[in-house]
Amino acid sequence: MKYPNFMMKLAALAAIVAVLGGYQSVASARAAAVAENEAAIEEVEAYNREIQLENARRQAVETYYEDGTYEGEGKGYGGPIRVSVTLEYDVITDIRVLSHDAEDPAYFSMAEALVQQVVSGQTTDVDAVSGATFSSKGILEAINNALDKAVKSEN
Amino acid sequence: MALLRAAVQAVFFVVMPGAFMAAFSGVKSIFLAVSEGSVLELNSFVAALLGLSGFTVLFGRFFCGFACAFGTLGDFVYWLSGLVQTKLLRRKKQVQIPERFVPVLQMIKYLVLAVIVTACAVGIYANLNQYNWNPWSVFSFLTSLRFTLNGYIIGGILLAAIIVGMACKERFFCQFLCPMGAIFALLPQFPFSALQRDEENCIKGCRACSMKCPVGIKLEKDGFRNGECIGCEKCTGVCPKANITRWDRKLVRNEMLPVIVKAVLLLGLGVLLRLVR
Repeated sequence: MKYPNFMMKLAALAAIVAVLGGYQSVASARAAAVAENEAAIEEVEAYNREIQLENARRQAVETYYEDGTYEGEGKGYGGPIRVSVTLEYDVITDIRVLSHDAEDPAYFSMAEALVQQVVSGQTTDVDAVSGATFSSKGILEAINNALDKAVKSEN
Repeated sequence: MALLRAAVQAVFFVVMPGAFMAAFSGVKSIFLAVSEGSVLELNSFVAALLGLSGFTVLFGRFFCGFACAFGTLGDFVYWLSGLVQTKLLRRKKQVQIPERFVPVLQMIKYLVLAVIVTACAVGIYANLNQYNWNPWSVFSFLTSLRFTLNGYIIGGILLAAIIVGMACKERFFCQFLCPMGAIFALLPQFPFSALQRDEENCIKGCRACSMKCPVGIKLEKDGFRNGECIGCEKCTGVCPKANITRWDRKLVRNEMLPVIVKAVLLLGLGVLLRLVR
């Protein structure tokens, strides 16, 4: 063999890629099954949320937050991150990132996934993305900051 | 050539200081996904890992030698320490970690890689992280010009210790501790990407290239087919007979042009991977 070192490392790399590929096909099959279940569950939950919202509207229940859209700011890796949070009957219906000028783009795009997690879990108590800790913390801080502003004054 | 290298390093230090961290976060992201049993995603960290790995397979460890911000920090600290010791303290030679320990110490980085990958894959990495131990995080505060520890006490101490090491051995972190360096060293780099040494032409008993090598490669024994080579090209300049070369250097009859071309390609890759600030 002409390049024993190169060939050996190539074989090792191919083995690792093959193992990860095998893992990926198993994980994908599992994810597809889970997604099917989750879609069914989400359908029921969305229906429940609607009923809850409808009841709240009808009975004018006391809410903790004032309905509306609020802006909040948090300290990210390189500077401030600003978000807007929309609340309706204490449900976080939407979160938008307004600005993140000082974040490194590759890092920020990793942390941005947290926004969806907060909306679906209705909590800011989620884990930071490994490797993008500071952008993650900045986003969560900004959301909390917006939520603080939304608290009704009598509370 | 030394000036060109310093200039290229300075540009990459300012423009993409987070590249090595993003690439290694790609490794972590893969094995954290494995620990959760979730599907592997091509996120921006994994893209950075694949991009820099591909570049290394094609061109050798040019990224390590010319573009990694942490490597540049190491070169700067070593240069500064040499300057202080010889000019200020009037010592003849800079304090050095003895060469005979180097091959053993170089093995530590594979252990670092194995420990982090295992911790991610079995799902204990998050627990480890609460101790704020990561010296790279502290370094990232500095490159964003925030001179704060942010609660990273252990990370700060480790970074300080690494800087002391950098002062005593050229490329201390890269060759002994860097988990990303471990991956690059294990990658199959195309044989044509390596420098070649024309032994027939060598002056008998001359070891100038080996003496100059920051990562202790014994060129007269091992040649360049060695993952440890960080592609700094220092050996090429020190050879009295200009015996160390590569196809591209021969082709353009110039040592600077290949470096500039690779630097521009890498910068383009950095823009593509959104690693450029």
